[in-house]
Amino acid sequence: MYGRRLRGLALTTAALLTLTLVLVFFWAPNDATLGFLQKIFYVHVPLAIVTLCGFIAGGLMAIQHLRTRDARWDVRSYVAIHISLVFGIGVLVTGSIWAKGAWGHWWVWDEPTLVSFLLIMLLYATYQPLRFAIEDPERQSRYASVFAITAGAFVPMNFIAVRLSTAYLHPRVLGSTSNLPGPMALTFLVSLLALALLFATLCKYELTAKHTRAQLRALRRRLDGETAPAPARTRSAAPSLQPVARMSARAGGGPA
Amino acid sequence: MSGRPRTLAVVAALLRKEARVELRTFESIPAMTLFSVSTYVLFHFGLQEDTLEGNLASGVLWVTLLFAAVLGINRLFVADDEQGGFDAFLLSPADRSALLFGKAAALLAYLVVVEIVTVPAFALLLLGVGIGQTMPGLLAVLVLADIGVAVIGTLVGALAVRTRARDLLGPLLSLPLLVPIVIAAAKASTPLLASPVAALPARWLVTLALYDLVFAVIAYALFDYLLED
Amino acid sequence: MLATAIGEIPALPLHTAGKYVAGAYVVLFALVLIYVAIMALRLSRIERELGELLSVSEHPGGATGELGPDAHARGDAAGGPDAQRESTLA
Repeated sequence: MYGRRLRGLALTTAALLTLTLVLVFFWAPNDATLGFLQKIFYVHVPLAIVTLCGFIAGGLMAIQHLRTRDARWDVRSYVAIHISLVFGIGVLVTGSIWAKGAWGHWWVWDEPTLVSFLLIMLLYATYQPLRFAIEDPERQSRYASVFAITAGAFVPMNFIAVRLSTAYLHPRVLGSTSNLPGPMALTFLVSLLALALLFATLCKYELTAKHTRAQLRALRRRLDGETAPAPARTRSAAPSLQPVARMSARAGGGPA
Repeated sequence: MSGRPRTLAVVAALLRKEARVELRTFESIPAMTLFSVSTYVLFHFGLQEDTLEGNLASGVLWVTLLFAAVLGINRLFVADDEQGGFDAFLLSPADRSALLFGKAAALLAYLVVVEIVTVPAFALLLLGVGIGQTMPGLLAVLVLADIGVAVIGTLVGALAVRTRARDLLGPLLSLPLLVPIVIAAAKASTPLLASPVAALPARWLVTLALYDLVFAVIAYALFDYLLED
Repeated sequence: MLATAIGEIPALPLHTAGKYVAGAYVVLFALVLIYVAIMALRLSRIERELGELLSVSEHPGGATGELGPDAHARGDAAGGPDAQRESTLA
């Protein structure tokens, strides 16, 4: 069942997100050079890391789909990429806000992370149109998996290429965690964990919702009579889950 | 007759077929060439410059090449899709990767032929410095970039051709994947096209070669999944 | 420690930087809330469909025949955001 651990996951996520906000605004010290603006760093960079890992995870799940031909891996891949896209929009917007605050422009080409992200988002924005353009569900899943793997491999290489192209002109302002003082590093890590859990929660949420709808459709078909033909599926970019009937744990007679 | 034909023989046969089709129908190469030259003229008017040097020259050269390549990518598998070439290939005992190698080699050949015409045209129309000084560095960059474009183009072409919006998806999918090639190629050729010509930075050649290698491996691993039906 | 850090503040005055930082966190908040809203819409749709199925299961036979085709149509159309996506992408 998809929703089994959803509650615990969601509660943990909520707790960690709250903790993150508390740490960011009440505990982490202000940066000496960047000032209060540096606080954006605690949402922008973890969001970016989670998004990239989400895209790569989508690629890994796609590999599993091609290897096992199990449609569930394709659904997981789809959901991971879908939510990473949403997070990615958040990365671009928060990065843009940070650029405006730090340099006065809503967009800067100097920051390799932002530029890499723009490219990655341009690529993954074609994922849904690609799926939508293929009607046969099996072929849709297969082609989407090929795309997800290619794009997943593209992510690290894109980063390297863009970083190389700007490295000698402007130093990276969003520094790595290695030279962060203690309290800042801890806050950053907590934020990273919280956003990673948020990603996982939203994925699970989405999968549970999809599964519920599939169960609903199956139930409707069964109630309408076994002979009723399966309703023709309209064209959709989203893969569907096969419903799983759960045996009732409660004792008592009746059909299983 | 012995069992499976050797892959190299199949690739050679595919290349011969592509050449024959291209020579009969002239679908890709003239279009790509004319498009490139027209684009150079457009850039002249758009940028309002008589001659270009350095990073401007590099940019115009590579962007035009990229868009011409996208034209070629769009046409690469169309004939196979419409006239049953895929099925014919699948029915043959050949190794499926041979189609990948064959088509990539064909696209590479198209790009080379187009460049033989358009790079001198570029030098004639827009380049402010003598083309002689840019060789052989520019040649190296062109070859490495072309290999990358050919590999990625074949993978994306095969992916896009059997969808409903193949003309749109081809460019949409390939352009972001080709951006790192443009980054590396442009960075590499900028010093070559600059007024006092500077040395070719080897770092970018290495980047191009690595990018080509990684995507060649990925394309080889994934191509089979696109063919089964 | 905090006092000295605050004392050395910097690049942007607090009242200016504060707006940008707040904006960034609001973006995150808004994304999550939009997701909650979409999920809420889906949940209400699921609830409605379950209600229909419940009534169908209580009156099988004749009522099923009437509701059948309609239920099919509604079941397809009420696909939630997936259906909305289909219509915007189509």
